[in-house]
Parts: sequence; C-alpha cells; structure tokens
Amino acid sequence: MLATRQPVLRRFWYPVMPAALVDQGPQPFTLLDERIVLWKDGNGRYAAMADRCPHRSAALSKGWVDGNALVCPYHGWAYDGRGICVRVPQRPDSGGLKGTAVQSFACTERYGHVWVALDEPLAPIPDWTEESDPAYRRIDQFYEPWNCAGFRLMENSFDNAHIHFVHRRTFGDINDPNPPQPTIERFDYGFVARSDVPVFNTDLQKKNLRDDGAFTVRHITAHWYMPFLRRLHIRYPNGLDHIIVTAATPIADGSCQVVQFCFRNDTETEAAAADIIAFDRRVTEEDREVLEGTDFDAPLDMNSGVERHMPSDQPGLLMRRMLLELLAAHGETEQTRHYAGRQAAE
Amino acid sequence: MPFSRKMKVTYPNGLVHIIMTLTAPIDDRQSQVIQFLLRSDSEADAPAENLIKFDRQVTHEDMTILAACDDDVPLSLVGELHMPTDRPGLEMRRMLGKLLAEHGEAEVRRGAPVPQPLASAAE
Repeated sequence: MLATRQPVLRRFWYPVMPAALVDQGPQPFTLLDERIVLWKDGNGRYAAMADRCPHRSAALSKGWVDGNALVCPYHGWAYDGRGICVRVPQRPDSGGLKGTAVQSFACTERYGHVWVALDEPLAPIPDWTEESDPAYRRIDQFYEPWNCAGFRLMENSFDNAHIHFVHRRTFGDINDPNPPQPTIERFDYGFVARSDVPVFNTDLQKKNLRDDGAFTVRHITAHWYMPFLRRLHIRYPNGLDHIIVTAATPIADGSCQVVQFCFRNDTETEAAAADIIAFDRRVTEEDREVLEGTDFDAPLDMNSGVERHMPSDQPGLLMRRMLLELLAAHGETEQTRHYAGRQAAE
Repeated sequence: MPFSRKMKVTYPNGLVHIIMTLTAPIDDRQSQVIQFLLRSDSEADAPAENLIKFDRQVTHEDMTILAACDDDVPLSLVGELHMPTDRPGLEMRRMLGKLLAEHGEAEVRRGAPVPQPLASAAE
C-alpha cells in the first residue's frame, strides 16, 4: 500500500508536532505528501494550512504571526486560521480577499502535541485518561523521521516474535523464540491485542522496573488505532504501568514521523525520565535498524505471494484485512507497485 | 530574457550603482546566480568589501524566501493570485508565453506530458 495514494488515509487524526515547537513560531510539516504550516494564533488556537501563499507560492512557514493572522514573509499578505486572506498591505482598503485563499485543515492540541486531519476525520483522537490522572506522569520520548512506511512500524508493534531477535540485546530471549498468541478484539477503526510475554530483564530495566529478577513478564494490552497509531500498555508483575503511545505519522510513502510519549504510574525519584527514555531509545533504535531496510510498499493482499507469513503474524495480517476493508468501504482499491492493475479484492 | 537583469540606480548626488544579476538555469529547481556591480566611484570612496556586505545581506533575505517557492511557475495568470504591483512579473509571463509561441512551443508544466526530443537528422 502506498499511503499517499489512498485518499481515505487523509481522514484520520495524526499527531504531527510537539505543541512546544509550534509555540515558538510557524513550523513546516509534510503530511501524506501535503506541505502544511502549523501555527498558533494570538488566542492560543492552533491552525494547520497549506504551506503556500496563493500569490507567489512562498512558504507561509517562513512568515510570522501577527495577532490572529499568519503573515506571508514575501509581501505581507495575512491569513486567519481558516485560510481567509484578511489583509493585503498593498491594498489597505480592500480588507483582504473574498473566499478561502489557502486550504486549511482540522487541527487541535492533545497530549502536548498538535494533531491534524487533512479531510473530515472518521474517528476521534483516542481518550487516554492517564493524561489527567494524577497517579500518572507523561514523558515525551521521541520526535524524529524514519525512512520506513508507517504501516511497518505498526505491524512491528504487535509482532511478539520480533522481540526475541530484534531486541535480543535489550529484553528479548533468543532461546525462547516462539511467543504466546495474543487474544484480539476488534473495535471501530482498530483492535486491542492482549498477551503475556516473558522477557529478559537487563540491569537498566531492573532499576527502571524496580524488579531484580533475571526475567520478568509483560502483561500487554496493545491498542491499534487505524492506520498508524498504537498504545502499548505494559503492566509488570509489581503493578508498574509503562504505557507507550507511538504514532508513525505518514510523511510520504517511504517515510514517517515517529512521535512517542509514555505514561508511567511512578515518580521521577523512583525512575528518572532520562533512564526510561534511554532504555526505550535503545529498543527503538533496534527496530529502526530493521524497519528502515523493509519495503515501504507493504502488500495488504496476504495471498499475493509477495510476502510469506507465520502464525505469530496474526495481528499484522488482521491490520492488512481491516485496511483492505476500509479501502473497500470508501470505494478504493489498494495502490501498490507489486501487483499493478490487479484488484486487491480478487 | 529570460533570466538576467541590469538594475541601474542613480542617486541624487550623481552616484551610479549598477547591479548585474545573471542567472544561469542549472535545472528546473536550481539557478547559478552571478552578480557583479558597476560603480561610478572609486575603491577609496567606497571599499568593494562594504558594498558586497550590504548586497550579501539583501540577497540572503531573498534567497530564504525564493528557495521555498514552487519552481514550476505558471505563465498563465490563473494558478496564482495577483495584485497591481505584480505588473512587471505579469509582463514577463506574457512575453515568455509569446516567445514560446513564436518558436512553436507550448508551456510545459510538471505533471503534463513532456514533449519527446526531436529525432536527430541521422535517424
């Protein structure tokens, strides 16, 4: 599937940037090949628009905010958050231009990040109660582009078999390569997978988890929110919650912006945020090393013969099936280079 | 036409400052900018270094904006919005369109079919 060629993927919310970055001034981002500018107006409202002045195509992200308007750096034409031109300095009496001059997109702030939907969203941004629960803290972990398809990171997140190979140096046990099968329940635009995975406990993790055992068990409740968002809730035997939210926000067919934060029900004294990030950093680097070498045009049709499968691939296969159903429900077929001209539903 | 300009500025005291900006198209996205000055004063009057310093700052300001603009500029007046001060740029578009027409060419935009190269005489 080539993400930028499936218009229905424009109908989902994606976290695109830490709000703190947008607070510093207008910022450019590329979402599904669409160049957008993110900015905050004088009333504190975040806005997302095409990063292109309709006059001479200058990047509005190089401009500045004046009150509730974003000012183009080239000739000073100014736009409100809906993309309406409210001022043309060379025509001071005109009051701007009639109609929408710059395309604007749905934009809001949640969990310390600015989220954007390019077309009318099909599903809301998930509610995660830990954000407002005083028992939990949020730790912002990563914000960086990866050269792989968002889908590859999603299927990786639910693939318990990769742990014992990709993460053999951090928490996997290469001598116990056959993981238990998760139980999976579907919901609208996603699923939840539950499993208990025995893992190796490194020295850094003994400290982070406050568990001295050589091995521990991850009680995993993992949500997949279509198409490129997951929440991985790991509960350790001592009651510690490590809840990782990871978005693989699609930049283009072959790249995604990894946005990751976690919720923890312990304190900074018990486990320093820097140590928690350090461990997850090692783990994500291990994933990145492998995923950036994968084909970004992941075939959704599991019978195409392009990829081979095994029983532990079940979550990733369900993702493929559900994405194909989504495409079909919106009158689309899978766009791919693998079986050009063939209908995926055949 | 198409990518060079001579800008002569005469100041009230008679000083002549001529900026030559010659732009060679490398490809659709990149241009080699060659700029030199012709001045009616001497090095003792105004050191070249100071003159370059000011123009360096000005060209950097332009480059920041222009490097982020769409390189596939439409010659047709639709596709961009215009205002009265754009008149010179609009005249350029008109004249380039006329040049293309006189030589049997049509404007080629990205995404439009690219004309096939002419077969060489030997074929």
